[in-house]
Amino acid sequence: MDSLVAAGLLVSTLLLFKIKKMSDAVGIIAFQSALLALAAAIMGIKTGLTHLLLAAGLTVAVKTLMIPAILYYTIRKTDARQAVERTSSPHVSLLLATLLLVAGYYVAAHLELPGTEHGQSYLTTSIMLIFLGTFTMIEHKKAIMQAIGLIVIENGLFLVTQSVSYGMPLVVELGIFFDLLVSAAVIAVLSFRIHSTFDSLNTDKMQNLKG
Amino acid sequence: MSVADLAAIWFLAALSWLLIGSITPLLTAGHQPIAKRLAHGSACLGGLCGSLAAILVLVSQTTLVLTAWRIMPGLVWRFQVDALSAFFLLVISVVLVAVAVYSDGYVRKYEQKKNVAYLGALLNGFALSMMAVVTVTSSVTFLIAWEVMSLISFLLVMFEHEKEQVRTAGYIYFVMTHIATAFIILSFLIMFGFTDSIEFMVYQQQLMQLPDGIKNMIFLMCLIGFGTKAGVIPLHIWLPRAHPVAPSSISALMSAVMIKTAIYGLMRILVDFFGGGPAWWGQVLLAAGILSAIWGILLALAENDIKRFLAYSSTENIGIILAGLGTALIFKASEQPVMASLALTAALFHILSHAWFKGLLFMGAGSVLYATHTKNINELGGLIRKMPWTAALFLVGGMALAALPPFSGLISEWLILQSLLHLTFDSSGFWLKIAGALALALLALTGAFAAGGIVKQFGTAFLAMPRTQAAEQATEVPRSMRLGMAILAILLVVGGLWPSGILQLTGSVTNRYFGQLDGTRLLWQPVSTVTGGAADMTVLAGVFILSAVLLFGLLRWKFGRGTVVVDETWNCGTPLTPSMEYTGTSYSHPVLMIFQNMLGINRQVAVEREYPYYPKKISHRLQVQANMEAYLYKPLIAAMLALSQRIRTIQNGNLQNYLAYMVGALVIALIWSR
Amino acid sequence: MASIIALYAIPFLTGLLAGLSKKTQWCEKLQAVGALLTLLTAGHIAVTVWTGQPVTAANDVFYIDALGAFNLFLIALVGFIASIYSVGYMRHELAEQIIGPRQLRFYYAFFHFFILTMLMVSTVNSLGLLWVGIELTTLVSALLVAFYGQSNALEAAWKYLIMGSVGIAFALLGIIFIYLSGMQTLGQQSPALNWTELTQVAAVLNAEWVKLGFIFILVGFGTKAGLAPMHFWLPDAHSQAPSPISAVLSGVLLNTALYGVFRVYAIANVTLAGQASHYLVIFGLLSMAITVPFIMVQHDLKRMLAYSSVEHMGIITLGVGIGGPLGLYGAFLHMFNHSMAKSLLFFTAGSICQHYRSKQMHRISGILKVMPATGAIFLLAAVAITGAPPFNIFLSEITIMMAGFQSGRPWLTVAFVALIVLIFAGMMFYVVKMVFGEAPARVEKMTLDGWSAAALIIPLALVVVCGWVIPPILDSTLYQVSGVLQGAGR
Repeated sequence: MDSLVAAGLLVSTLLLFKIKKMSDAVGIIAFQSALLALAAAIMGIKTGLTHLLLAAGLTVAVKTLMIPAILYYTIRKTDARQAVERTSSPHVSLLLATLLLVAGYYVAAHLELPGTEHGQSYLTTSIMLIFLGTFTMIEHKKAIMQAIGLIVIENGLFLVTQSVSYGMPLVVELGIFFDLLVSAAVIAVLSFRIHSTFDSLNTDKMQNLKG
Repeated sequence: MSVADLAAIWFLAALSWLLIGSITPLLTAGHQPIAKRLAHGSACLGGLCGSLAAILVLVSQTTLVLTAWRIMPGLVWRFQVDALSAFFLLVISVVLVAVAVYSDGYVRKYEQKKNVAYLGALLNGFALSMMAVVTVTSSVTFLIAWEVMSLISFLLVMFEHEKEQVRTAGYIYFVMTHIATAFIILSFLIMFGFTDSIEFMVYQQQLMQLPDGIKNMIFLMCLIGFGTKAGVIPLHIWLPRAHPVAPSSISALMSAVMIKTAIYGLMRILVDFFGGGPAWWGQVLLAAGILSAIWGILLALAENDIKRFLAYSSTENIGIILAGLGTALIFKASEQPVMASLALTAALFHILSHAWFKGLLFMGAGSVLYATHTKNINELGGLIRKMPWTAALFLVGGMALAALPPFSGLISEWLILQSLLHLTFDSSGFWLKIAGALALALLALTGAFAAGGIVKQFGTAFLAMPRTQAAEQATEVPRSMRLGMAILAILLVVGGLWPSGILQLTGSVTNRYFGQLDGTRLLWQPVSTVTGGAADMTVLAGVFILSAVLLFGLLRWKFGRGTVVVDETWNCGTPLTPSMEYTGTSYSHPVLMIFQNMLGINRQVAVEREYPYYPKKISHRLQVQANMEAYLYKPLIAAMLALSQRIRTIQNGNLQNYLAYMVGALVIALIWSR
Repeated sequence: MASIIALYAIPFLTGLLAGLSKKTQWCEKLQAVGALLTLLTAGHIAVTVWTGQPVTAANDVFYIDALGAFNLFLIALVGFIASIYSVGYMRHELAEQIIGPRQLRFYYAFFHFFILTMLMVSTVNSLGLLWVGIELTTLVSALLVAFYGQSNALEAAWKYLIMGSVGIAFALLGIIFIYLSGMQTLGQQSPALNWTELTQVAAVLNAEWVKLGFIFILVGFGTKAGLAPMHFWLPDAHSQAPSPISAVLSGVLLNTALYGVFRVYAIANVTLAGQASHYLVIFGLLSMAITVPFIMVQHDLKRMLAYSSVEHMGIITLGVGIGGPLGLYGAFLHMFNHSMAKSLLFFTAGSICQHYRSKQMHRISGILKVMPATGAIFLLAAVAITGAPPFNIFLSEITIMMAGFQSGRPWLTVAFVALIVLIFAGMMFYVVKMVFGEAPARVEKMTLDGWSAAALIIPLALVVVCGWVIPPILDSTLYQVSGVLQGAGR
């Protein structure tokens, strides 16, 4: 089950480099977050830790429902064409992403976290997610896609905490979710204003401040 | 009450007056006349009190210490006036008195146009900071005082900041002085690193034991740091720019006094902390000094701007002082303390006389500027009839600069030459003797050029006929300005006629660090052995005077009493016009042509003609390019700016790039941590 | 406890009320009073801590020691000054119709929320909550950076938001690593993110994990603190934000991020037996070096000041990295000094830019002629910020330099001195051009308004006075603050 979830996470992330429409990315994020919640829930049931269940619930609420909704709304309102734009072609970026997966595997193999029994299988996945998320931010030109990359990174981090240490203390966990929600809102607000000012969400247009 | 207490009270009074003088004018800025009086009155009183305190300390050979306040844990602001400090305190205070008196008249030039209260307050603050520089007792407080001095002098240079030229000069000055400070900071930090203390007292005891390499490093840092402030070539580029553009009273203080604080710093570290150091330090100082002297005076010779001339001449005189100091260190290293004392005395004496005559000359130049609104001698002429007092006083300063009797300039230069003669004949080592002889010859040449330079300035500006309307309409300057100049002129005469009095003051400095020297007899012992006792100088002077009288009598006897016929100058029947006069440019042209390649001179002759062979007008333009700037500083700055432009492209506005940099930094840090 | 509640409640309520109030007159005064109250509360807490013991409250959720109190007080102080200055500044913007009353209310509300988030960072015990706080500061201040809503402001805000968020994500990973090593030592269900717990066991934590965690946190929070080469957002954000915000960003937000770094550093350097300091030294020196070309060739006044902030963050980091009682003392003194001098600079620069209607330095000249007081203070602050005596920054810089020599790293110090001289040369070139000379004909003469004058007086006094004497209260505080990191300075 764990490996299935892990595989699902990776494949869905890799799809980010294949898609043509931005709204697809939102779907991927929602799906990914749902898988994450599932993973946490499984772990919660296995270990009997209630706050893992709570985290799973929060993930569903915040990451699968609210944030995708905000992002989807933003995309619908701002960009009619919704096409993604990358620095390199889809094939090249997919290739690079695969290479990053290998690198992530290599790094994870060298990390010897004092983790839990579920740790190792998810650790590799989460490192890969962080790598891919960062790569998404560098690769994609649309502002919204950078937000997507950010959420992928966050998902990776969430997975690390859930799997290796059964989550952070509850207060911190709540704080992180709150932050995530606020940042989605702020990203949405800024995206609206960027779109209305630049008439586009392409970050290539935002290169006036130099030197 | 002991003498030290008395001196302490006077010293405190001096500081207090200057502090009052730097604050109250700003508070009364609404009433400019009151503010002006307050500022100059306080400065004058502060100078008087300071001189008194300094003389008391020097005569009684005591040391006074005042603890002010605690800045930080382990850092206390303290004043200490020992012999060396007192000597420089004297230099500052005396010139300050004259400048304060002079300023009272001079600032009328700015009335209704500029804020005179601000100028007066800065004058006081400037003097205060200079006094602090020479009396503080730890490296950090020294640096604070030093930089306050730089900052205030920068503001003073910028006083007439409406002019583009002033802003450039101010900026270059500010940056150069900051670079100098950086070197000084480093040298102090090295000392701190080895002694774990910032107190001068600890340095006096412990620095001698440093390893040689470290000592040498400190020496080089100090030389660059203080050398820049002193205007030693090739670090002088700020000086001829900044000194001329400041108000003249300030130029006088800067040129006569401020650059001496750098000499103080050098003496404090090299003589007081290191007790002289190895011989090559002295040799380097001597070489730098001679180079500055000869180069400085050559550049000065080319100038047609009185104040720029005086500024370059400051470079020359600092060179002479450094040569004296260097000679002293050489003698000290070869264990000839009396000779070392002689050379140091020469340097100290020259510090005093240069302060006086340079102060006087800058004030004189200021008077000319005040009366005619120009500094260019080619636009002047005939001022001796319009401003007889200024002319006479300027001439006194000029003669002192040219080392002519009976002024103190002669005495100090004579002492320097004397110590170089000793270096030539009494030092050990063939090359040292050669170097001494060479230095002597070059210094003598410098003296000749200096005389030539001052003749050019005085002759062109004050003699002959006015060349412009401005010179025509000049009138004598106000009484306070003349008085200010007169104070220094009198001192120059006193120093020339009664040098033993001054030698007593310098004696308390030299005796402390080097050998005992009988100050009163020193002067009258020309080239002699260590013990002295050769022909008395009074005899020599007597011979000089006697032969002059004899010569005069001989001429009179041979040719009889001449008859003087006063008549118009014959000019082929046409009237005389100012354009026929010899200009400043033409005066220095022959000499400059000899050094054409060295200085980088650009000469343009433009001939305007209507008919061939019959030119209508020939204009001749001579420009000193200053090779040093063209080949040393400009490429450096250009390279730095070009490099900056290249590096700036990393901030290209692309967010993806930024993220990549960030990830790169992370990855490199992670790899490095392995 | 009550004072901590007050500390959170006052800025929150002030922001809320300011956002809701109908009349701008009320809004202005209300927020100024609120800022004052915040300052008083923060001062009260700080004095309690400095004169007594660290404060803990609410079941160890809150923990304020000397370092926290220092940062807290600085935030409240700069916040207060900036809120006073904002009144004059924003009135001008209103009068020029650059903004409307709605934006004004938005501004004041978010200004206080921003202060609140920073206060939160310096009062919490848990590293996780510290992270949450720092992330919140990014989110709130990004909106303030975007305040003017023109293309440049939006661009700056976006870059700030994204770089800040990615950085902070890295930091979270670092915190997870620290958490893991803490749990390994302290046991599963322990509060292994709490600073109080971690310092107890710092010496026996898993070195490998702590090192990894520290690097992630250094890069992550370092991004927020403007350490090179993660500083690229900083000149954009600082130059585009309204000037009072720029002052707060430069004056205390960067400090707050550094506070996060130092907290972790205090643990990591003990665990790693002094190895962590190398990272600080390298990042510090790099931050100083990278600003040189950008200050030497620059067109925008506020960007120049922003780069200067990068430089000073580098100096502080370098000071802490050098360590030792002298280095730490100097570094925290520098933190204080920089906050004062930089807010002074941003305030005066703000007025200047408003009056000249340009941030381009070649369009500004003769400030002394048209705005004598502002020009003089600007010049003074610029001289101070470049580390020239007799102003406060010189004392802290020389202390750090002395620490460098004392710790046997002279070449480091030589580089330090060389860099600040270059920066001085670059900055003064522009400052001299702007301050002196004749003003363009289109610019009229103007006097300083009361609110701005009131705001300038406090930092001005501190910049000048602290150049001559360090007040005893500050002195003892700095000792305590460096005591907190003393374990790190070994």
